[in-house]
Amino acid sequence: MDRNGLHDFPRSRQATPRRTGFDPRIRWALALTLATLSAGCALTASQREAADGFARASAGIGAFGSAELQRMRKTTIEMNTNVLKLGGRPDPQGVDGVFDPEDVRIRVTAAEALSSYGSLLLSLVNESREEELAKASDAFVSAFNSLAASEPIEDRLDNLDAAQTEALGQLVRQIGGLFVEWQKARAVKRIVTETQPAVAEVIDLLIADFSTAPERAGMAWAFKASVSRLGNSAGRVIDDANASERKRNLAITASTAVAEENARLDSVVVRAEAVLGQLRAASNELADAMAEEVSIEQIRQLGGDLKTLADAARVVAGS
Amino acid sequence: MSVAKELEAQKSALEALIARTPEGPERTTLRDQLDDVLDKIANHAEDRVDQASAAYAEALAELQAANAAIREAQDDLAKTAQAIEKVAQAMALVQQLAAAAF
Repeated sequence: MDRNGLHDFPRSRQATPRRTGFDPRIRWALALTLATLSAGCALTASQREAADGFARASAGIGAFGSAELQRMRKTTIEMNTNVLKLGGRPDPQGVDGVFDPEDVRIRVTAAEALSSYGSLLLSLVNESREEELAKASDAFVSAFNSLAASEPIEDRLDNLDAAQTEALGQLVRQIGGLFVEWQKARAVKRIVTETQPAVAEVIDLLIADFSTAPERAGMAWAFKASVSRLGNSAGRVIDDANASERKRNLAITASTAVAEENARLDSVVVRAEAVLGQLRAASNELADAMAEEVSIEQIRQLGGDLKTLADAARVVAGS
Repeated sequence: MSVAKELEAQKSALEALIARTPEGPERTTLRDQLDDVLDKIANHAEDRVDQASAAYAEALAELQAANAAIREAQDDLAKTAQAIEKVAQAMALVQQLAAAAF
């Protein structure tokens, strides 16, 4: 038994110079762990770019969807009110037409949720936790140094020099950083893969709602029909030679509004097609990027990570 | 041809016809017919909008779940970073105690 009553070691082992650095076996175990983490899952530059592209494309969709759908509802109410004032046939779906508050709300909420998804996903992709890892590294080095300086341990230690201490901190930071990257990449890939069908669904539904094509039969198509209803009602009054001056003026104003709303609707449809088309492309790109297998880029990145780690480990081991 | 396409074709044809027809009873009849078609469009669109609302609701629930999952993942990363700090401190202790013992 040794003087602490713990172990008896063979003489040859006791005679071996003691090192405060990591045992080579530990270094290799560390390197293997890193290889697994890096090669398995860290996000690549193209995956980060795809997330950035999706976040940019989705950024304005909440505001756009909310503004345009709510405006369509408000304008439909105004137009149908004027139809009634002109003595036209009322909309069978009521004064707000197909724009029931609940139907508008669910669309606005979905568009906003899509925007939030894009920005939240990007913030997750950009999470580095640098501050905490630096703190962990400092805490490690500090704990190491304070213990090395304390009695009665001090006399029995080969204290690390400054370069070794710095390398030790770097090791902690590297390993922690890679673990965070691995954990983050795993979460991002899972969430994107699981959410992709819902994202595609909302984009398709919004495309349908902002299209005036009858095959889509969405809100914009119904809105266009409401514009036609007002135009038809105004036309009846203008056709009627016995219509009052007040009603005739109202009909003329309504005819102007019809032309303006048709023109505006055309521009909204074009804008929506561009915005939503871009979003769909970005969404597909994101899904494709997350489905990537281990790439040359990842292998190159792994090489860089391992070299930094090996350098740090070498300094700590004093070799 | 789908119902919506058929209605749209009727609407366009009637609007073109009204524009070409001079004021009088014939144009009034065409306007009545146009109102009939517009009523059918409103009813058909309402059905489609309701169906789409159900699809939106389903997809929205998934998006909201995804957003919650992202926030949870961010919390997990924060916890991991804190855990790394604690492990680092523990490693320092173990390393030093081992060095002191042998």
